[in-house]
Amino acid sequence: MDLKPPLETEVEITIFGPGFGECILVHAGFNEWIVVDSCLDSTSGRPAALSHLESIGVDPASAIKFVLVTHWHDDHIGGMAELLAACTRAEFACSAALTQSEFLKFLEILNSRSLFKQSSGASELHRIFSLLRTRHQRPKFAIADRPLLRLASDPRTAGSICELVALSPSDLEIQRFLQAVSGLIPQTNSTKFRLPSPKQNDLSVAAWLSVGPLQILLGADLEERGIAGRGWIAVVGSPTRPQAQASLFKMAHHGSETGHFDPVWTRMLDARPVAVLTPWTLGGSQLPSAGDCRRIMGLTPFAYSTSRPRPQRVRNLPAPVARTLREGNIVVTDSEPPTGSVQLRTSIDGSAPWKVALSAEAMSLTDYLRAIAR
Amino acid sequence: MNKPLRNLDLTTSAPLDRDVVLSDASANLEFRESSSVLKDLVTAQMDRFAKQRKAERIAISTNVTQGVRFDTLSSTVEIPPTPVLGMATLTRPQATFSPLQEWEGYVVSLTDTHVLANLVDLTSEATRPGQQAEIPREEFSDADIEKLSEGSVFRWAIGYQRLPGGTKTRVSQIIVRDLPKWIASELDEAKQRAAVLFKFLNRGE
Repeated sequence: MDLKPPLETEVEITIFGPGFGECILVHAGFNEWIVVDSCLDSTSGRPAALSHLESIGVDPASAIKFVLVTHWHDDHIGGMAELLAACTRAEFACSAALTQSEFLKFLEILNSRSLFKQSSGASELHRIFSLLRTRHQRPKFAIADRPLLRLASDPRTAGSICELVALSPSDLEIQRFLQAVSGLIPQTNSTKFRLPSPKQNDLSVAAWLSVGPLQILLGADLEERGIAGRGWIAVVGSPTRPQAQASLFKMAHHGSETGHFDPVWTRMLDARPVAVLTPWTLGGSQLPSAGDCRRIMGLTPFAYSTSRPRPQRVRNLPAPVARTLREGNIVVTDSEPPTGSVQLRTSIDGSAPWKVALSAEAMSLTDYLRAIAR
Repeated sequence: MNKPLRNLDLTTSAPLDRDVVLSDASANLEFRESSSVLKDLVTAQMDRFAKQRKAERIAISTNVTQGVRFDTLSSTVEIPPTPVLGMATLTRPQATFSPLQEWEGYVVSLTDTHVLANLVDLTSEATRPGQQAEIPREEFSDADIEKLSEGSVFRWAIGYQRLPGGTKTRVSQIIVRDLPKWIASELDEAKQRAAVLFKFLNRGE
């Protein structure tokens, strides 16, 4: 991975993924940066985007122009409040549903008293809204086919206009989500709980990024369940979405079967796009599976993962503790193995193919599949 | 024939957000915890004392201050009568537990054989789940297994228990927390805060 800052006339996309979480850092040219989602860097313990920018000497306060949270799950929002606090000049956008009354009641109730040591996506989002309120900065609301950002980077390159358009969630997704949240609001005398990891990704903000002639599809965690008006069916079928084909795809929902929809590959992507995924591991489950890898490798030879497949058993535990775990047949693994990244660069005029650089933890999907088999 | 045991009702109150100190002066043991988990600790401690039937004196001290809301914590335990020897009270050494590793866990999912959980390493004072665990169900007590569901929270400690005779045993102890219930005023206050936040986010007020 290149630790030199990109040239003014280079577009750089760095996708971070430590095994549970993801963050996309975009240099749109002329020192204007965009961040989509956030995860923590395993080395510094700080937001991965911030650590990287600091390592290449870029000041996030002046350079980051826009921050998007695709959804509020723990693996997409880790460290986002800290990141946003450092981005003093950035606009902020999230799904329109997260600013609705029903969800805010739910959010405030979840954060009304700290019962647990564990922070969650809900507590991170609460910190973000508190920060925005302190700054008197209202967020932008992402909804299908709504333009979120337009940067006219430099007068010398008229064709380098950067645009970010939300492709989801659809009206139907928002309506359904708010109904579901209403049912989760606790009643008096019900027992308090720690919000389990939400399983639905209905609200994910998939987005279309264009920088001059370069077209990029950011799939977030949007899934496809074969229901009209929702998921990828709604995105692909929208007559008002950007109609170009992307040469780079941040694959949806960690490359899983539920994030896959054939028409995305045939109608929204180039024939052999560069495709990048962030793996995901939680409670014994792991994405992508071997089958997912084979499916993706059948669609493009240029597929990459930001991190290795299997979390390692926790090291550095006291020997008696390790013995107890072993004797009890208890498996404890790191949920966040070392952060890896896939970095892609090309010239802002699109005259060169994407140049791919992998960090030590990242690998091609072919190697990822081999690692699963081992 | 066993002597009849007398009952000790132990009841204390503390604000939900205050630390409470539970101490056994005779054994020089002390726990400091938030009152929302004190009940678990009291119960576990009393059970241990009752089983050993060596408890002479149990002192509960709290840093109770005036608070708006209180949880009532109650535990009943049978302890043997205190033998009186002249003017002195005989005290005996108690078992001690030295944790080597402590986690807070929350349950992600349950299978027929295992509990899958995210863990926060309390030993390193982490606040985010940095580990995941697949724990066989038999590691939990029967009572705790009944309570488990997605979102359940537990404390897990692995360490050495030292018995009065000098025996040292490596133990793993998991206690599922009995979480308090929502009260109307908490929910009302949260809804009021949500209304304020809604006005800001949607109208800029």
